[in-house]
Amino acid sequence: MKTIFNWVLTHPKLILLLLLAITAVAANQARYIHIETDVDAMLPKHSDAYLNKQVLEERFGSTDMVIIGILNEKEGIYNQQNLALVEELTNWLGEQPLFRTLALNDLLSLATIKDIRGTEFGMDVEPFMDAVPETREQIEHLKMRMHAFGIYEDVIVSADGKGTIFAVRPLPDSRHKYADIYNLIQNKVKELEAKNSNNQFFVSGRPVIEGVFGVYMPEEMKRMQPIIMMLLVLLLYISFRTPRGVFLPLVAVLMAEIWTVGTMAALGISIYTITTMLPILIMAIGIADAVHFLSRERLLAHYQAYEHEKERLIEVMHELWKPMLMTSITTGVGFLSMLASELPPIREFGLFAAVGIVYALLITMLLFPAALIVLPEKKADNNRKPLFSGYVEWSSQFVLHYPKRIMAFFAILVVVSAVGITKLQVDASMIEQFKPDDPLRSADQVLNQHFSGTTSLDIMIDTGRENGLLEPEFLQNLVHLQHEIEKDPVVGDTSSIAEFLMLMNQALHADDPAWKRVPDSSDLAAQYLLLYSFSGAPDDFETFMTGDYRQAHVRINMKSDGTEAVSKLLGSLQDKTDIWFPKEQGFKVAWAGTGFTLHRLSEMIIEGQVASLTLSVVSIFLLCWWMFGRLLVAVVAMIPVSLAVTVNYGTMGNLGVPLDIATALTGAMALGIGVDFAIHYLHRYHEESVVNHTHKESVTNTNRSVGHAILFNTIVVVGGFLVLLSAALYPQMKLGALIAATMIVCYLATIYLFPVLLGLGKEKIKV
Amino acid sequence: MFVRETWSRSVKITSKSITYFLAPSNVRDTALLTWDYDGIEKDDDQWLYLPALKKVRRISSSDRGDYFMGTDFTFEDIKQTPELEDYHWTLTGSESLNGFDVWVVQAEPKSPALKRNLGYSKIQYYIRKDIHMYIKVDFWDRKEQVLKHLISSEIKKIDGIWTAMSGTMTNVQTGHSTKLSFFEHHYNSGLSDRLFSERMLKRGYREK
Repeated sequence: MKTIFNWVLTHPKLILLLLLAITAVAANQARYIHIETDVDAMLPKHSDAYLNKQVLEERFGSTDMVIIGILNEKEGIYNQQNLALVEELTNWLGEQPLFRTLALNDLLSLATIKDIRGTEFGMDVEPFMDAVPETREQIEHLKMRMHAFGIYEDVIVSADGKGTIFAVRPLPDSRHKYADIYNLIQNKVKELEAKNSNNQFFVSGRPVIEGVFGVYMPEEMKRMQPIIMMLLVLLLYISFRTPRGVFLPLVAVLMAEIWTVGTMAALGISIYTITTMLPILIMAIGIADAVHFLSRERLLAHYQAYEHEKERLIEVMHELWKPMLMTSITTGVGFLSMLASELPPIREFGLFAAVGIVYALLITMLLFPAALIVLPEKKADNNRKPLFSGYVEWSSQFVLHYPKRIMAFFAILVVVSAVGITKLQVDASMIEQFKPDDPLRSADQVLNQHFSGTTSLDIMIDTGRENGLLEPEFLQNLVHLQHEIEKDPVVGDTSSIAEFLMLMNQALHADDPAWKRVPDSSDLAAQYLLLYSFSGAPDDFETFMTGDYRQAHVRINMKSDGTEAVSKLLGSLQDKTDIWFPKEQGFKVAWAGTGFTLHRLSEMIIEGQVASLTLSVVSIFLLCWWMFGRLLVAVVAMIPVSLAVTVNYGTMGNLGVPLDIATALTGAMALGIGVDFAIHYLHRYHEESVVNHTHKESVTNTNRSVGHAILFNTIVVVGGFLVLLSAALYPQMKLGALIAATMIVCYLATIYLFPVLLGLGKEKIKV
Repeated sequence: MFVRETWSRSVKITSKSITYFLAPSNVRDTALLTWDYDGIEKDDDQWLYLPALKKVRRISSSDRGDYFMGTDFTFEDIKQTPELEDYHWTLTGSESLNGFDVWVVQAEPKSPALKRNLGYSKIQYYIRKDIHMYIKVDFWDRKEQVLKHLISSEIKKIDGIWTAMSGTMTNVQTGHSTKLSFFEHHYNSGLSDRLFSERMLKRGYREK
């Protein structure tokens, strides 16, 4: 090892050049990083939700629609002015190249939907609104038909007639343009709002939600980067008070960050909402290596232990490489345990956090010696005592005097947390990732209050044979299924081909409501559809069935994208669909849509959570055992982190913060970062007790040396994660607050609980 | 795939046609009778016989831009000759296409309302100079994106009249296409007016 260190110090310029060159290449790569906002892409490619979604889009078209709602509480929408507005906006949407507007179900509005009407002679299929109605009677007629027809009530026009909806489908495979779609709609709505001051406009729908994510994510990264850098500058300045003490650590972590993002871009890894936090994480963790190096170098310089700068630096490297490598490994293992999850965002977050930590260590070990030897040597200000010395001394005294109080405090914390864990819930909602006062979230809420719902859930039923869906029994079972689903209060509406066939049956029997039932024979159903194709457009039903009448699609609109509701619905329907569409007869039932994707996502969050937490606890424990060589010490080392993780989940349960894709990261993360404290502490305590200090002396000395570094480390990590509280998205905020709180618990457990435990068994545990 | 038998008869102001569906089997014997009036004052009359219901039903006429029976042809396309006065016509040039000298003629619907109604912003015909039949037509949608191509083939002279026996319409946006094939085409065969009645609609198709 010493030869390597020697080589580094004899070729400092080469090392610096090399580091800069790699950074330049990585920065260049980083420009090509891809941002992923598709929720389905967060599922593994083999997940049924992911696969079914592909099938759904191919067979029936995407159900991810942009939704625009207009509300007029006073006058409602049934007046000439607002119906003209409906026509204007519909025409405008029809002309936008970003949308697919080929078939009826591509663009649904009061100006496109069609009425199926029974006449004395037969059946008429006509748009409810061919042109803007001019007389009062025409408007009344439109209103009467709209609500008598029923299918579009609450779906397109609210039951009270106060609002109406436009649903338009983006072009297939245009996800990368969702942010453009959002801006386009936003501008149009602003323009219309200025002209129609009595109306309120609301925009939502999955493409919009994903579009907003796409806008927010890079903005957030750009906004938070300078904040966290300023925080680091401040903390580094307080600690070191020299330009190099501020500048060198900052450069080291920035390099690590650039290298990591560059590596991700080069490997074609996408950025998800949670990975936007990766740079902050790498800075907060990576800075610890830099600080340890500089502190140690200073201490040795202070005591003038070595005559030459080079010898001193070699000593620092020699002393530090082991504990630094150890802490990097344990932290890295904590993150790598996220690979136990099946979800790509979590896996990639863990993997590249580990990569970033390795980079930070490597850069620190190369940059610092090389830079320090190149820079002119500077006499340190020897008179200044390290900051927080008073507090550190006080903490040692407190620990030694009040062990019982400390034990009691942690015992209460554990009990309260244990209660909280039992209340822990999971939720993968997309819309709840926005803050409650976010304009998008409140628009979505209003739309869900007045209309059938903005979240899609889809059932695809393969009848196993051509013309299978025309069978009366099958159609009747579809109707049963829809009734059953609509009982759930979270469901706003369901629709399928059965509804339309029932209405046609009624229309062809002189509009007699008694005939509003499924056609008596398969042939009759086929002939109705043929009949319909003469006056309606044939692709009016392409979203409900395939051309060979084999596959049917039931579209469900839900008023919430909370996963608990979907899970409950799915659970209650399973038995019934088995009876109505038995597998033995060749039926296949498949679920898809945003609701289903989020349901699967939340299942995988839990599974991954349990697996990665178990994995990280076991592997970090084994690492500690191997490092300290004693089982008992390894057990002790695990105490603060286990406590912190318990408190973490307990707090979530107590505060009602659900486990989601972001908060799921906290456990393994806290474990990986927190165990460093324990390792540094135990390492130092061991050194102190080896030279036959008493427990009391050992605690005081340990506190004096690593106490500072651990405190600084805690402040940086806590401060860094608290920056996330300013985030525009909820997951970042929650994760920031949770990690910050967890790290504080971890710090307290290390500095206060450790000495008490070590004191209890000073003779036995003797580290 | 639908197989139909159509007879039509043109009187001075009206054309009448009757269509029998032979396949697929679940719509066999369904029949459609259309009385098409020239001019816009009167909508077309259409009757449909549904064998499963054993009843003749009247159905509303379609818009010109509506797609015809699940095909890629709109009602306007299927008529084969457009309403000349609804378009601005421009001769844009001549070229050679598939070995034929053709005129390239552009048609633009005269008003935004017509464009919306027809679903096209522009149509371009490639018309053979020797027999004055189009062999290719390109269609642009309202967003001025290319929408469809129609290729006419098997152009034959039947009873002294040039007739395209096959037409393939491809929608480049959806990727699906429709092929129309005509068999046993006859002109001026002296059909009687009685054939185009409700009674014949119910009776169904019989080989003559």
